[in-house]
Amino acid sequence: MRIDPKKLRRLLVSVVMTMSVALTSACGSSSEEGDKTLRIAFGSNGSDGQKVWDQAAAKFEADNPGWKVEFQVQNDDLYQTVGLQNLLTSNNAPDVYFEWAGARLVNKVNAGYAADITDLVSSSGLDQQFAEGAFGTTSVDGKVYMVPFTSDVTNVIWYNKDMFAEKGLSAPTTWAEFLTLCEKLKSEGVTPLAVGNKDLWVAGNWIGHLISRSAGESVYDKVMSKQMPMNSPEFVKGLTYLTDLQKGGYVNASANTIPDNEGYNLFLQGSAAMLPIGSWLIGIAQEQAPDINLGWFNLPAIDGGAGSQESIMGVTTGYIVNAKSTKQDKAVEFLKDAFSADLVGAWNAAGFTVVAKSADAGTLDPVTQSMVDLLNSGASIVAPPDTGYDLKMADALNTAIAQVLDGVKTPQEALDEAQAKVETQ
Amino acid sequence: MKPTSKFGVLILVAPAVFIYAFAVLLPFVGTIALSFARWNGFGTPEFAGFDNYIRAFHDTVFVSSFGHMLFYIATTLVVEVAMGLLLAGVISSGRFMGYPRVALFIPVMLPMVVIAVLWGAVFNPDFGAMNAFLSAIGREDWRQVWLGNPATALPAISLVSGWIFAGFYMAIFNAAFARLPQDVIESARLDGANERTLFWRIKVPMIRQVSSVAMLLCITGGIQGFDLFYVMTNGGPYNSTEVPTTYMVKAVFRDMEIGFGSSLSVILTIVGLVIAIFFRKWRSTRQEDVEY
Repeated sequence: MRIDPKKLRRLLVSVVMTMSVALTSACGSSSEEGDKTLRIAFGSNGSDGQKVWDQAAAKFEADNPGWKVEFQVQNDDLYQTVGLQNLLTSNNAPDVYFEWAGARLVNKVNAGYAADITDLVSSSGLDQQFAEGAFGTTSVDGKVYMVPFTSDVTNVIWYNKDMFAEKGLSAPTTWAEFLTLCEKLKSEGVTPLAVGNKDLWVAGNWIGHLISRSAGESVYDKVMSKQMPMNSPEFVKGLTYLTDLQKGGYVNASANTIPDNEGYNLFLQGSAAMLPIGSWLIGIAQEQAPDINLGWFNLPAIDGGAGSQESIMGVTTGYIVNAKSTKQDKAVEFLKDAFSADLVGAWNAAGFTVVAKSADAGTLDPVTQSMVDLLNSGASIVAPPDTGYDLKMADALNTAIAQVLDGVKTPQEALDEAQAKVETQ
Repeated sequence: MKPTSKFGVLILVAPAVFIYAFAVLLPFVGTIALSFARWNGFGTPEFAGFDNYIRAFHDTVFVSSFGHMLFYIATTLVVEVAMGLLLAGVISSGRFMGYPRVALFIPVMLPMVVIAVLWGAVFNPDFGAMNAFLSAIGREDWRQVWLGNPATALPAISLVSGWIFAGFYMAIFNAAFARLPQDVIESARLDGANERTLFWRIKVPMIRQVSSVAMLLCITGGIQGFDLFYVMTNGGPYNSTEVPTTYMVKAVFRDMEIGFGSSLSVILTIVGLVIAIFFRKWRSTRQEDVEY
């Protein structure tokens, strides 16, 4: 068969042309005129959480005929790293998106992706759905940039109530009592503390709290915000308390090699007596060890510590309205529906300790309720290294903590190294 | 057949060139460009000159990650290539033809992540098979937190790598042995060479080109090595198993420093190229190939 080269050329040219036209049109298909779709982005909340979102969307769509709510749900890890970034710079950028209060919120404000919603929050009446002062952690320089969603305690020390009762032990209140307790448990052949620190944030969160107790909240904040060096004597002293635990052999030897969930398992299966972690353990325990009798105590008080000895380590999450969105008023209206008093109960049932005020109090299970009470106790709240501050600072501190936890470096050596690392960045 | 029109030829290669440019060239050039910028993924990248590179050379974690990579390469040359060669020698001598050959090749067919999770469990200090085995043979004192001790973590990962790829190199060497001319081997046998002499003096020298390729594969594989490290230790404990690839991923996806991460990848590419060039030079100047 003979092919006419001219015909072939014409055919190929037309194929290439069609392809490129299709490509360019696909890239540029965003219709701004009369766009009545509200896009909400977050990392997956699980199926129970999604049901609550769907209820909120149904209400919003009923109140605003012609409007549609679209959820941009991603895998949690993806969302936290590159996922949100990609969404915000895409053509279908979300109008509302999930974030953590603290350094991540400040980053979004500085990058111009967070709208100042101070006026909208009060004019829409959204602020009436929250207790006074709830917007404190979600404001930057006195302006509201975020609507608070949940508050989580990220560090208390969980213990197995039945095991403690059996051995005649009680929750300690001071560091000295805590060490005695650990020694007793160890002598009975139980690992006192389980930690799954492969990803470093677990011990970082717990020992960060310990350091803030010893060094004081303001020194902790200054060091983590790079206003004081990592190897400040206050930090070295704070980290020295960890060497008590390391020398006693009170933490599982595998701490730095196992991920967080394996650490939870050691505790839930009863091979370890205590577990320092946040309120999310409640949901995990319900699923994996429904029979365990969970108790908790806040980090024991450090004698002569500069910080408040009642302080709580905690984190607030919330929703930011995209500064580039043209539908900011509708976005706030939607958040008002989502965090209305009617839905707070549904959020709680789905395992979220939401900040918004609820219509009917007292529907929580006692352990969850005790977490909410702890948050509302008025004690000062310290931010964990990884969600509250620059991730590189958190990594430097958390690496130092891991080294001291294994006893390969002294607190001074580990923090000197951390400081050197921070300086090269 | 001679092409009738140059334009026609261009049109025919255009789709391939287009895809190649889009998927390979563009990201390649883009990475180099970004390595001179400061960019967190938002907004516009700002020009940073050589700052990223200067920072990379001062970054102790990054510099030491090359040491870990070299250790990994050196170890895997032994546990993968040399081991594969020995296994192929045993197998090609006629013994253990069927089942052992398949068994040794199976790890190559498993996904790396699965293997990493599996061996992570073997090395687990609380319930892992490794420590259980040591206890069983009465060596309680040899029990270790294998992946949590900076002295054992890297060797442990290299060992797993050997467990996977020894079978792969065995298959390559076995194929090379199989196509050696039988007359040479028969004459050697007639001259009284036993299997061991045959292996070291005849077979191994005759597959020199194949072993060069195998070593190069192992070296470049070591430079790219990521999955085992990422799943088994993610660079820990305290950066003692950090390799350039895991550190790069942290820089870009955790710290959102896309410019800095790009400069790390450019440095790694250059180091990889230099190693490959030196390796080729070294292999080609050593001795003449055996003709057959």
